Amino acid sequence: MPVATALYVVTPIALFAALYSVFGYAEYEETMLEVQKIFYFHVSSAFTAFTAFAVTCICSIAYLVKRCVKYDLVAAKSAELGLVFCTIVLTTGPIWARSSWNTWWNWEPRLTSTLILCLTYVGYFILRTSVSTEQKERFASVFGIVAFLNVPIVYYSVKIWQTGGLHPPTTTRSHLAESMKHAWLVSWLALTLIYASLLKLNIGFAWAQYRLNKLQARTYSN
Amino acid sequence: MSKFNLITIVVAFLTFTAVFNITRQPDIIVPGERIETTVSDILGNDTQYDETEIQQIVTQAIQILNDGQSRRLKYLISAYFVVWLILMLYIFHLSQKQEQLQTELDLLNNQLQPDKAKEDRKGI
Repeated sequence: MPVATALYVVTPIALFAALYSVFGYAEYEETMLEVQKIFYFHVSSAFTAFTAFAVTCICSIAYLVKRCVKYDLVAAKSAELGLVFCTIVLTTGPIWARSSWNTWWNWEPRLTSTLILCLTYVGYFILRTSVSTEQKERFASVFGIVAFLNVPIVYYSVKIWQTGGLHPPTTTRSHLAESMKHAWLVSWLALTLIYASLLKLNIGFAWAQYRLNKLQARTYSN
Repeated sequence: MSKFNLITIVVAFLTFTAVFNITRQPDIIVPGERIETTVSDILGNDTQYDETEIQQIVTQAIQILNDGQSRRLKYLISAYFVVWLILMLYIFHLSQKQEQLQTELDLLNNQLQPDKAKEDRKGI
């Protein structure tokens, strides 16, 4: 069975498993009760976004070393998906915050650094659309590598700026009950599989578009 | 996927979220007699207590719990709606891209092989 087919079959199964483990298996957190269930998709989305940005960084390095356009396409498409998951984090976060902390937004380190991360990758796409074709890939690759430096800053922001922010330190996972830990891992796996499936699909389109553009250029020049 | 489908999805999501957030969660109905029986079971028949006062306290407690649960569920469902809405919008964006690619491919095919393209269209 090809990898793509296996991915498209496994992803919905993992998604159903994630929903079951979140709503049917994981126990309720004592203080926040039902609303804590947002955690499973909120934090998993954040980790999936980090994975996507890491792929962008690795492919950007690979592009600069090998100058193969496929790496640049993967980097761009992964950043696009990272931005999608970052948007999920930034929209589900305030909903959870409103219920648990009685505020939609707070300029605390984790929230602010996540917003900056999101805006940095918006900048990455602005750069890709505004630079001429010859230099686009090179500039975007450098930007993709530099932008990734934001990810560890987001992850360790609570530790770095100990200002009594609303987010718990990065060791949240270790305080979770066993059932919650399992549900979180299944949710993370499901979202990572969604990311992988969409990336595979998106790279296919991008590669087809690239080849079509080349063909069009050759046809019209003749 | 056409734009009509996208609009339908967005409108359905927004309507459902709006209705869910505006309407109140139905209360857990606990009849007065049941409260009375449960309170007697807990306190025992020998203990002297003000029945009306205890009944009021229990009813208030149920009301507070109801309101809390209703509020939490609304936030939970809104958050999950947002997750699916964003993912569906992204899939819609991909399908639009695929359609655009197909159009460009057909155009190129027409220019390269006009006769074959006509045959293909007849075949479809």
